[in-house]
Amino acid sequence: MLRESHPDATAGAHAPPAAAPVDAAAMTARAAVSCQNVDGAANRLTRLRSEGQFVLRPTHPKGFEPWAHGAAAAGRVSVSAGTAGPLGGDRLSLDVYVGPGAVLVLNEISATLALPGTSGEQSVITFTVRVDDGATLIWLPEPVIAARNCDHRQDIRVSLAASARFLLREELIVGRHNEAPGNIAQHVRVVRDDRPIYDQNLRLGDRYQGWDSPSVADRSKAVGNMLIVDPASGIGTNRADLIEANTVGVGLDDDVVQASAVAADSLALSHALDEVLNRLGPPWSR
Amino acid sequence: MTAEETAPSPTSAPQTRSLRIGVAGPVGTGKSSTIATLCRALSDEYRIGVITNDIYTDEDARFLRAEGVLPAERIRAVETGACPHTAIRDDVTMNLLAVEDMEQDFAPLDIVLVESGGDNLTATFSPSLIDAQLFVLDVAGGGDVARKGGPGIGRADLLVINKIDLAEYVDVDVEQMVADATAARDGKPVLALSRKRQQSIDELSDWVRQLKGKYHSGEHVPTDPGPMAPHFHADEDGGYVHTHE
Amino acid sequence: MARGTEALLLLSDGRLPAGGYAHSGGLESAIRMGRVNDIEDLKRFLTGRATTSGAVAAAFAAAACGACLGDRLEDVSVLDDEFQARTPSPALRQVSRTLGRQLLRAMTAIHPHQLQQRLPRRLNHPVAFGAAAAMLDLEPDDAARGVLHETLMGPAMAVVKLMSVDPFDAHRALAELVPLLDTIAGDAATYADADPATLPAFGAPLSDVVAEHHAAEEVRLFAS
Ligand SMILES: Nc1nc2c(ncn2[C@@H]2O[C@H](COP(=O)(O)OP(=O)(O)OP(=O)(O)O)[C@@H](O)[C@H]2O)c(=O)[nH]1
Ligand SMILES: [Mg+2]
Repeated sequence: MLRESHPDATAGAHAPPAAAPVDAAAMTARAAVSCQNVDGAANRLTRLRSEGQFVLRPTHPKGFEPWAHGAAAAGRVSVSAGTAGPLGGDRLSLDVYVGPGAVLVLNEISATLALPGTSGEQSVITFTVRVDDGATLIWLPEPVIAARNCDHRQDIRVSLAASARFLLREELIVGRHNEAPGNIAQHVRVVRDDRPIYDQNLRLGDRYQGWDSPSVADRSKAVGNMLIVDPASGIGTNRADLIEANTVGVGLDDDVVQASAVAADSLALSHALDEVLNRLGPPWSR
Repeated sequence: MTAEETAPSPTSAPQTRSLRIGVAGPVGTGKSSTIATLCRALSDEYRIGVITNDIYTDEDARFLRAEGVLPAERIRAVETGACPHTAIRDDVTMNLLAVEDMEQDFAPLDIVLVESGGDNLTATFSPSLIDAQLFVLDVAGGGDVARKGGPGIGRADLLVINKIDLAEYVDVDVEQMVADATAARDGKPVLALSRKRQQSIDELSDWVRQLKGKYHSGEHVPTDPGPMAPHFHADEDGGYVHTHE
Repeated sequence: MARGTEALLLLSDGRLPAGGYAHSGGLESAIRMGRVNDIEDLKRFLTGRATTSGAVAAAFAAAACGACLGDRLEDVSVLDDEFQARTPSPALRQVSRTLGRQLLRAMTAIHPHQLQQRLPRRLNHPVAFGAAAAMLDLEPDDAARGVLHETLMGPAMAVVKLMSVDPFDAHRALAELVPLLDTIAGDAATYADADPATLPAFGAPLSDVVAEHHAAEEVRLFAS
């Protein structure tokens, strides 16, 4: 029964990639980016494979970049949407690899809008990320917006080497402006040096009983998280930043900071997460 | 992994066991002050630790740290979730772990004092938590309190009648109050105390020294003052009476 | 089902002396922040707690019970790490470790068992609960039910001290959740022998946020 209402309840971190879509109109696409340190240049894009939804392009800095700001020796890749969606039934994946000592800033041109498909099936995007020793990945996706009636899932699996540096910022918006919330489940699992450090499956939308709870998201339209791993930095030591009523930035370990934010809309959410970075000070904020 | 996580299982008793003394009594009678007084008087002789129990805040722990009578880290607060009497009697696990941790972290400790959250006349410590207990009343509560009895007044190891320096202002005859209390206690000790009267402080200190001696010689047997009578909780809704079976 | 029923009742009764009564499961803070004002809010609060933290705790309790029964104690530590990764609030980590430790301490006195010497000293509460269930010869399904029950009883009991509500209404809210709880517990029990990495990780961002705020409050009735 529960499995039916929460079909992803058992979708473990090591679940195999989702099976090919049933709906003929749905899309299967696999994109990849690798950044490696070649001959001392930490920014070589040794692989850049675009497909379907994911169009990857080398790019220039887009505004302020936490940690990597002004760093010439950083690879920069923008993801832009090659098509509308994801639509229900789509199975998309993006593999990211940052080799030893390399630095990659990964961002997006525009927000992702998850839409319902004709089949009523779930759309699934799988991100598989590996950041090697001494490497840095600054990952700044734009918000994911779950349009009315959509059923979207994102699985983000990150493996960090012990000395890898990492930032992931996620912003989930349920429903466009004045629109009923769609359904989205975002499962982020981060393993560092083979030990799990963060594993959260956030489920929003009416399909997920309890999401509107004062203990979960309380019908808020915007929910965000941020995870920052900065080896030997001490950024997490005793950190418990209370930012307004609905945002906190806390230390999960001496060099790991996590932020949780719940907000009325995308703009407020973005400000809240910016403020978490501000509290960390340079190089994470201006 | 920290050393703490790899340490032996929770069953392993601390290497050294202190004499554990509970301090109970109604709100504001001077439990914290008595503990501060004892620490001041005895900290040269004994290594002491203190656990406070709080209802809303860690006020008591802060007060004691501010008094500077002990190193601040040897004063720890336990939060009792609105039920101070539960924490010292029905469900002592939080306090027991706090005491054991303290004994382990600062071994060897001679004495650990546990202050109960100020509650009412009936709350007493379970012998599973402490070895002996003081029950603190004050003269400001009125001279007839001691006659009202109850397990703490009747059977605590020591009944303290505190703030006797205030007796004349509240029309209490200390001698009479002590006599009433002694009668109610079948001769068990009653001590009239004021932090402003050194002699009374010396008497209190002596009582602890003797207890410590008896505890080590095996003469002291922890006793339970007995079950609580039905009692009254004041709260926003006007309060209710309940019993603890 | 008949076997072990009494032991399950013993273990999951809020009166088990393991210090649970000092916690409101985030309810005090949710009330303070104006997110819970009436019984309908409380019911939503409990529902979300059941489908997120409760479902996760239940799966971990079942898995820990399974690991202890199968004498896979190395898995108990792995489960504990995995649970911690699913608890992104340092305040809640602290609470869970404290409650876990208190439960194990109480169990040493209540029901001495050889497992007690062999378990890590610090375990998160659901993992400790699963281990305690195994000590009492209970099954993973019992462990899931018991811990889920506790997850909801904490706030449901605390509410009468925090808000003016009719205690009958609080219990009615619980009664209405029974079918959901049965489903969640049944699902959780299927993780008894699962790879710890695959256990559910349902997030409850507001629980994390309010827990941190609560920990910073100077004046509070409940420890969490
Ligand atoms: N005059 C006088 N005042 C005292 C004496 N002992 C304590 N007080 C005062 O009584 C008040 C309460 O003392 P506490 O020691 O905080 O009492 P308590 O029993 O710990 O109070 P709670 O923990 O709140 O229940 C304080 O204002 C003290 O200064 C005394 O011997 N003489
Ligand atoms: Mg006091």
